[in-house]
Amino acid sequence: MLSHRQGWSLALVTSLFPCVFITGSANDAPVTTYHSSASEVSVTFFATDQNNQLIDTVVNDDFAVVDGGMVIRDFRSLIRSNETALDVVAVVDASESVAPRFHTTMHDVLQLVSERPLASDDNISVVSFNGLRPVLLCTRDCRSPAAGQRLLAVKAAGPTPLFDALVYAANFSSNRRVPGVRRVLILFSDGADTISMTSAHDAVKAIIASGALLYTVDLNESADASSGSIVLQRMADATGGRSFSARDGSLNVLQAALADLRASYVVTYPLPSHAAGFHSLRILPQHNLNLRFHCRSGYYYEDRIP
Amino acid sequence: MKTVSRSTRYMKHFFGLNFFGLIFLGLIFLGLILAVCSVPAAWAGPFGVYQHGTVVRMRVGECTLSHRGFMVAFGSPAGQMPEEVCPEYTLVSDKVVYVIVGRSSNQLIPLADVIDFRLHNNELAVRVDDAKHEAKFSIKEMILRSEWDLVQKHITDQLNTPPHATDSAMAMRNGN
Repeated sequence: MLSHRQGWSLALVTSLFPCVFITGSANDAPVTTYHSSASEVSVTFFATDQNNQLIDTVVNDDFAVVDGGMVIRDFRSLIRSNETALDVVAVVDASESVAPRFHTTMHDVLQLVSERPLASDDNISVVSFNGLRPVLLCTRDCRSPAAGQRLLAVKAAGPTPLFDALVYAANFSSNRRVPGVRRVLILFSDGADTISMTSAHDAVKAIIASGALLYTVDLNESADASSGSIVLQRMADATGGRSFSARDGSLNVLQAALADLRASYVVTYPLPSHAAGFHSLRILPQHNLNLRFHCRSGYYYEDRIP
Repeated sequence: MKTVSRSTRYMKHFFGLNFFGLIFLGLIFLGLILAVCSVPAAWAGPFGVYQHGTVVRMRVGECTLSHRGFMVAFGSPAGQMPEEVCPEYTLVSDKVVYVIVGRSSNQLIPLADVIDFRLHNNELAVRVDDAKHEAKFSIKEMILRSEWDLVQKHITDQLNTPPHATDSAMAMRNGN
């Protein structure tokens, strides 16, 4: 999914470059300030039906975008997403609350890591969290034997800094931006935070700002929706990702993320409001209420550079 | 007349009816035809009175007009159960603009260009596209379309006014 903040920053930097050049070459000339603002919103999304099956073809008439409360039906463009590969950060809950099934979880993570690359540019990193801070277990070399041993050496104990770990993973992922590569966080957790400095809201905000999608694997044993399960689901929905149960299998989650990638569209439309700050975002059906459109829950707009 | 009398004879022959009996039978038949015709008319009654409108805004807010519930959300402080949120739509019709609120968080309106709706028992019933059922919404606000247009124009003008123009106007007013 594209990062609006990044896109606008790029546009702003591009537009400000001549300004820097002019002021640098003529010190006596009056300082000229160029203002620039974004005029287009770009949203990446995919659609599923009532059975959670991906919809392969979406047309303009299928959906409307609700941007900051305003219903938008006239789009500038609707095209397939050009993202072709995944950059996955597996975020693994290693706290005491998930200890009973931690061995199985790590087995799933190892299976995820050892899976053949889905595309040439696919990459995977693993972060675990318990105690006070998250730990980066491996990156880029996660398929090596040494990294495998590090993963198996992790023990489940201590409190759960879930939201802090998500902020850490979002920042980590944000530094790995590559054009054409979708960044995905796969969270293995029961959704119960016990010690984070940050809130769930801030964690979601960080993920949205990073441009990554959150896929959650619910480690709760019960089939009933616990508060942790609901938190996981809501966080995934807010970032445009999806939530799964541990029973679905980690490889299926990865396959789902890849399938979502292939079924993604990008819709663009004129910026409806220049109000600075967070703009909420939803995509809703125009006709068939069984369709569900997955996109991030909003974007940040910075009006001008002073 | 000869034909009528022949048919009368046939009717007498088959049904044992006299002239008045035939008149009575004819009235019953006419009544049946009228009844059959009126059934679809009555069925189509609600559909015939639908008004048309367009949803221009949508937000989620408290379900103040319907029931109150709870749902765990991640945006609240730990330990608090926030209220359930319901969709709120601004529906613009020819004469009136309605602000309507759904009864639950998942009560959605298809956001097509034009939707059909009708007022029913202080509620607004929206026909869900081509489906056979309606979704009923509480009416939160009603405003005449002409007034709403004026308010929207005022808001648009305010948004399009550059901030520095407002500042200079204020400066002139203050005599600076």
